[in-house]
Amino acid sequence: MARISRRLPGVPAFVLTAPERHLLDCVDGTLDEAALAFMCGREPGDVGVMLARLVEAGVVSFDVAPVVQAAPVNPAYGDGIELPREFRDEVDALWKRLELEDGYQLLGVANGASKEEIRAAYYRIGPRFHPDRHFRKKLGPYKQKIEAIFAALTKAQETLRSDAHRAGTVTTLPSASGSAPAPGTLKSSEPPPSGRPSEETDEQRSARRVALARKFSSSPGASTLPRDESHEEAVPVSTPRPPAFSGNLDPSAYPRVEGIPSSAAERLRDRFDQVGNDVREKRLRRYLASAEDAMNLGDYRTAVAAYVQASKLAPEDADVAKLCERASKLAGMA
Amino acid sequence: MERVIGIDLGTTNSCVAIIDDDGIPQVIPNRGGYKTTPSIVAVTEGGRRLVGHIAKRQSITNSENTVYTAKRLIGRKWDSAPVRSARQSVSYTIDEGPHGDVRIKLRDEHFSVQEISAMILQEMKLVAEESFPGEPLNRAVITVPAYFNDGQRQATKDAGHIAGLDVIRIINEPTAAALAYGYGKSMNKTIAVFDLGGGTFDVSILEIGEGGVFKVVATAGDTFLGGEDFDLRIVDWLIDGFKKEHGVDLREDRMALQRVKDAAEKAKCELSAVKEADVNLPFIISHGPDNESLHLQRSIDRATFETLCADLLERCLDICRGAMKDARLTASDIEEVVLVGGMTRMPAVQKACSDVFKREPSKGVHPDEVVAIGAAIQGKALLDEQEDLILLDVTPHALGLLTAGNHFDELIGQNTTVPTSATKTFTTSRDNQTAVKILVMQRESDENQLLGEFLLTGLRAAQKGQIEIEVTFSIDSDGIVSVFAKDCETGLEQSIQVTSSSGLSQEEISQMMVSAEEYMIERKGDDELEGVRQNAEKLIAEIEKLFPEVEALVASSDFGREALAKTRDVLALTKDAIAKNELAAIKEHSEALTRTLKMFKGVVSRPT
Repeated sequence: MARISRRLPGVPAFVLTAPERHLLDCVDGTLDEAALAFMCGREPGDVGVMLARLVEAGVVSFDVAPVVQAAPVNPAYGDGIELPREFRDEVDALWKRLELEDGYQLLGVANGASKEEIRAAYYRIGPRFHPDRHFRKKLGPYKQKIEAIFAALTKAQETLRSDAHRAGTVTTLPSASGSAPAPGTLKSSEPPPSGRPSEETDEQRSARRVALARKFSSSPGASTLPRDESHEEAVPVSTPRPPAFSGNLDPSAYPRVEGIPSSAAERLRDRFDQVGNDVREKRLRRYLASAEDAMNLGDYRTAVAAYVQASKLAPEDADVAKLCERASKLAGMA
Repeated sequence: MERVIGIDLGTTNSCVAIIDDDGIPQVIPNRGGYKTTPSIVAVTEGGRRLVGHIAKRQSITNSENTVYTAKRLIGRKWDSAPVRSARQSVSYTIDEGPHGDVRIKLRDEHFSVQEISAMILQEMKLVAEESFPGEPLNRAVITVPAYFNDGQRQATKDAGHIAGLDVIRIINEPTAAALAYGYGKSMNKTIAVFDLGGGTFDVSILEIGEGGVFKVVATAGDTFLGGEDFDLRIVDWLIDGFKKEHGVDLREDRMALQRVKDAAEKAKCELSAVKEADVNLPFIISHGPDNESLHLQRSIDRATFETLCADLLERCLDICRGAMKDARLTASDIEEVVLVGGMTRMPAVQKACSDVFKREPSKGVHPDEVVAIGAAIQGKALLDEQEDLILLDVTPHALGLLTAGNHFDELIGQNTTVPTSATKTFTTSRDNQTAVKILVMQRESDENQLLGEFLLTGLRAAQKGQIEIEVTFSIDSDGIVSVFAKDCETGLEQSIQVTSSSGLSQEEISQMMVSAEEYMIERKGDDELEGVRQNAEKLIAEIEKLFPEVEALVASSDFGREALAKTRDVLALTKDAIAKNELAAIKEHSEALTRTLKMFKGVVSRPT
């Protein structure tokens, strides 16, 4: 049974939508997702998404991963949705797992399956989750869910097949290509955010990560936080959308599901680390910026609060600590 | 279950198909027995509307009021390059519509391109209804070139609505051809569809899997490359040659130009079968002080023709190579090549195709009919739950936003399987910016086309780059694009569903629907009158032929004389009713005439 523990102490203020606030009020550490859904009068799937956001914000944490949940009680049967009951349950369950599973798991094939196996699995499973199978039927919220599942399966299939292709290239040409990753270091189990799996996306992403890391380590001081040049001219930040379950989550808190090969688990852990770092960097930047704003406005108390949060995120950064000290001095004087 | 018709609305010819009671796809022939109908609409001097073969036949003498290749204009803006070039080459008049769209002038009346297409669709619907009398055939799947953009698809859908059709889906022509090719066969294959039609070129690469899955891997094309362009090469060659010889430009005479165009098309078709074709157009133009008549007489051989259009073929091949690259496949991965479109009958096209894919193309499908058949199959698959067929198509154009500095930022790439969605985070470009404008763009070749726009307001005033806005694009299974923007900080949201950019407002479409329906009722009345009239005239002729013989046999009796007098009366009345076009009266008298004829026949055949 998935239990959601109490609110974590000492979390920063975070803008929540009304339903999220309502949900947060209901979280008491004993209720599971389905029960919460029932209490809030919402679809379990929607509650799952909101919880994911709360987890990402670091407001709540899961005691146990929600994967091993009992079949949810869907309160909305008899709502005129023209889908068989079993299929709806299947869609609900799969939809919730979507963000957590890698491509191999989604398609139900062994890790490192061949191109042919992946293709066959996709052709077996994919069409079941295509909305055309239920053409001009009343699907309600299921239309979106089915489409999301289909899109995820398609992305998984495309990524894995191109991975298998690349891996194949590497084995046949042992040292010909330096740019192709070795078969063991493939890490695109997560569908790339742009929708088109390509090497560039991965490379761009890692390049951006490196640039960010460098920027943070060499930051001369928060008051003159340098802007990323590339962000200035091209407006999109192109941060990959963090997967829903991320942030402060410790991947080791997840139970080891049997049947997941260890390399898949490693990839998952890598993914969590990367996403965690990204989120931390983003939050740090946000705190430093709002602190700077507050300093300019003369609102020292807010600035101190923000710097405290920032230094918590980057405890080894001496500059941040210095700024924090200066702000609290100013606040004391005021 | 209600049947669905599949309509291939082509640039030069259209075709309609249906799945019969035995589950076999059938192409429905028109009244003339032809399986395809020219996509030509004309209005005669008397205001009569003509569609199909009959419109084509009168096109030379009425070229200013005959619309052909309307598909090249559908969904396009008045000031776009294709419309500008069409304005110079077509014989009918193109004017600017109220929304910067295109209107076609026929006998002082302006029609939108959608209405012209609707007339063709109505005709195809009529063709189908004549083969399935008494059955309403309102649902249709219509095909479009794979490379059509959102506006062109929407305009085609609108044309369907105007024609009174419930367009359940718009599908891509090469995909439809693949459905027709693989329907009912269990296979596991990668195929390429090479579709060179009257006006457009498409190439699609598909995977066909067990269980009836048709997955498009990549698609590429050119909406301005087709049979028409091959014709124009011959037209130019003929006209330039004529000018060199006689110093007269035939382009200045619309009727002459139309005759040359027809002759060029004929020569092109002949050259697919024979090595040399003659173009013989006597009295093409009168010229000079004594109005001397000039004749156009030339012969063109296959090699000359192939040289004339070598660059067109090269363009096709480049597109094929691009599609294979997009699919990350090589020629050796393609296991079958399906040829679609009349132009693929040209030997040079077949040769070019087998060169690029390194295999002989499949001859198993009929190039003019497969697309309509595929559309009918898709219609059945959507509505019939027993049908185990699923089509996974891709979006032919990339979708994204326009960001600061007119930079196109792609969210959904070309050749992404639909339905799909993608999310990306953006930020503000100026300090204290409290609103952002989201410009939803579609990238077509190197041009970006605006699909829709909206504002997300109420952002916190902050330095540039601090506010994060999450934008989500999604395309659902009907191809409808939705865009959703969210301010990550406040949770403020704004979204749009990108709909009709076909250039017509909803009211206009409703208005056009009404007038199209009125026309149809009138026309059906006309058809009925015509049928009844012909039947009555046949009866009259037969009775009059037998009359002298019967008179000789029965005139001796009173009863006989009375019957003959009555017959004369009815004949006179019927002729009168025919002259006055009185439907009910003709019908009534026809019954009497039928009885009379039966009696006459009885009298004549009685042994004496």
